[in-house]
Amino acid sequence: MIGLTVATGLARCGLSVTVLDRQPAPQWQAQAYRRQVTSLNRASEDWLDQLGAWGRIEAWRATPVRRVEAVDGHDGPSVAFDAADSGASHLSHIVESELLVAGAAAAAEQAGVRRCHPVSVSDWQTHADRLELLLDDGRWLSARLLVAADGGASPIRQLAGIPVATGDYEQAAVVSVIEGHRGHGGVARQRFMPGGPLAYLPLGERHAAVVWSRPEAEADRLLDLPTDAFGAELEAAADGWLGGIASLGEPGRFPLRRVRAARYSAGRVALVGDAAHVIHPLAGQGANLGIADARALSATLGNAVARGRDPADRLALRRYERSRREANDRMQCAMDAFHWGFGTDEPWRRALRRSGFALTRESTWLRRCFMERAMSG
Amino acid sequence: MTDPRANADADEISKFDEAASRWWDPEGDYKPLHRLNPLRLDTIEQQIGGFAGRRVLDIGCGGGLLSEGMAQRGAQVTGIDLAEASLAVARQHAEETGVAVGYRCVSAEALAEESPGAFDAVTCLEMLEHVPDPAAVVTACARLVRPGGDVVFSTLNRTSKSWLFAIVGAEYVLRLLPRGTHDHGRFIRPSELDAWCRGVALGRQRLRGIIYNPITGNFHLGNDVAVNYMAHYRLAAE
Repeated sequence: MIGLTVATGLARCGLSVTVLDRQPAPQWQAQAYRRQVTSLNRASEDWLDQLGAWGRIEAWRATPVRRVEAVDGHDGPSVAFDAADSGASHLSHIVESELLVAGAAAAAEQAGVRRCHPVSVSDWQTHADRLELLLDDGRWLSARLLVAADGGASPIRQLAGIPVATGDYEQAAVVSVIEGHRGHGGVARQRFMPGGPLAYLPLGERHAAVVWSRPEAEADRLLDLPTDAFGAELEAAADGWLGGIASLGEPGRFPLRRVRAARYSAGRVALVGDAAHVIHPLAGQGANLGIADARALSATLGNAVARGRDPADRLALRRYERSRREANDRMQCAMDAFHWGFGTDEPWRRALRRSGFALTRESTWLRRCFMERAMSG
Repeated sequence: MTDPRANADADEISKFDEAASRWWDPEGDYKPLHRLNPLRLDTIEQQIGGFAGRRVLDIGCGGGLLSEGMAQRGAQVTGIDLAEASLAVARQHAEETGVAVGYRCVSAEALAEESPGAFDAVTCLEMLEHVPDPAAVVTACARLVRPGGDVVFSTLNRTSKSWLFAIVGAEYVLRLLPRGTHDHGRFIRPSELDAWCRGVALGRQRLRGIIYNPITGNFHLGNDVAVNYMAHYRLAAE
């Protein structure tokens, strides 16, 4: 999805862009809610709107989040962020990932982006003015710049020899879609529990995507449970949210890791999104960072090309990295801090959390800071 | 879409599919090709004026002996063949040695439709004698190479000497090649190759014989083209 937005952004700057994808873009059609979702902040919406993708996505289905509530454990302190406090209509939108890809693909096509699939880059030769990419179907393709948006494991980043620092949270996210007996009223909930946070991201009127971070063994145990038993555990953890679970979708899991690339570019290769940084998904910020990368890269390279420079201009790529590095690192640190602060229930950490919650609840200024950050990325 | 195997002989391809696993054994079935390879590489390098940065197409690449060699010398190589098993061996070997070669299962004719004029040089070695319609392959070569680009063929001459050497000698007596590799009726005289090339604006630059020394087991270039020869052509510039 990030790759498609980069492609659309660059195509709109007049560059000729080809997207190499492992699979064809999904065609969106009305169907049951998917368990993989993303929280899109206002800044991401704006950019997707400029690319011509947001209108489509919103018309299909996107659920506005008007209020976010964070609770420490079952009876601990809580804090809420309300869009009305800052005079906004909503804080973010919850969008199913598949739908986001379909919307981005439609916008890319409109912008004249070529697409090839199923194909991936298996190697390349470097020339002074271009790369000759060897694709896994045996074809060669000339390119002045290769943008890697190929995920946290990024084979292209590895081929480019860009080192990474990785970390394992030793957690997995168990994800599913639930339908409640009551409506959610546009409220997203985050419950911090020993072992990992449980998030409910509202979908439609009475549905929610559940993201439950658990220690890996615990996640395996949950997935092995019969649906009823899993529902009962979720219900207990959910504390009556949505008036109890009316129905429950098939659960899935994905591992939680952190990845931080040492550089965002090398020669004629640039990294965006998860290829450059993978963060803990507890606040659903990953896609927003990736979209912000896409926007920054398109703007920087668009400028360089308009002034007659090479799209892989070293200074332009450095400028791109400088514009994104700090925000991405900061978000990664913040997520790590949450993970560290809420991961266990030792008394002194609980005390620290209690004061944190109290401070946030009492201080309008601090709450506004959090909200502005959450809305703008 | 045309059938990619239109100008191919299923029996010929299956012969190569069966022997695929033995392509890279320097002492195995294709030992003569291993012995011949450095000579072929040097000759082509000289004829096309160096490999570095050149886009080269290797038609009938088999297990990739020549393709990999050219890539190692700096060419951007695409190797095509219709024997899928050979290509699998070629891909695996390239991966093991870390050489970038694009291998594709596509006929020269189909590739010429897809990307005409895309290559600086085309090599088509020991391949023409295995197809039912070699003239069509020659035409495809002329379409695939850019104006002023080079095409190098090597094949077996249809003479009684070549019959003795290639069929009786190489396959039966010396056991140089897997038995049944060749069919003498399909061997091509240099004059026939010349005629096909002239028809598609390919002008001959050089014709050299490949001479085998059965005592040392080595090959060298010479003027005797009666058995095996290499012919260098250049497409007329626009």
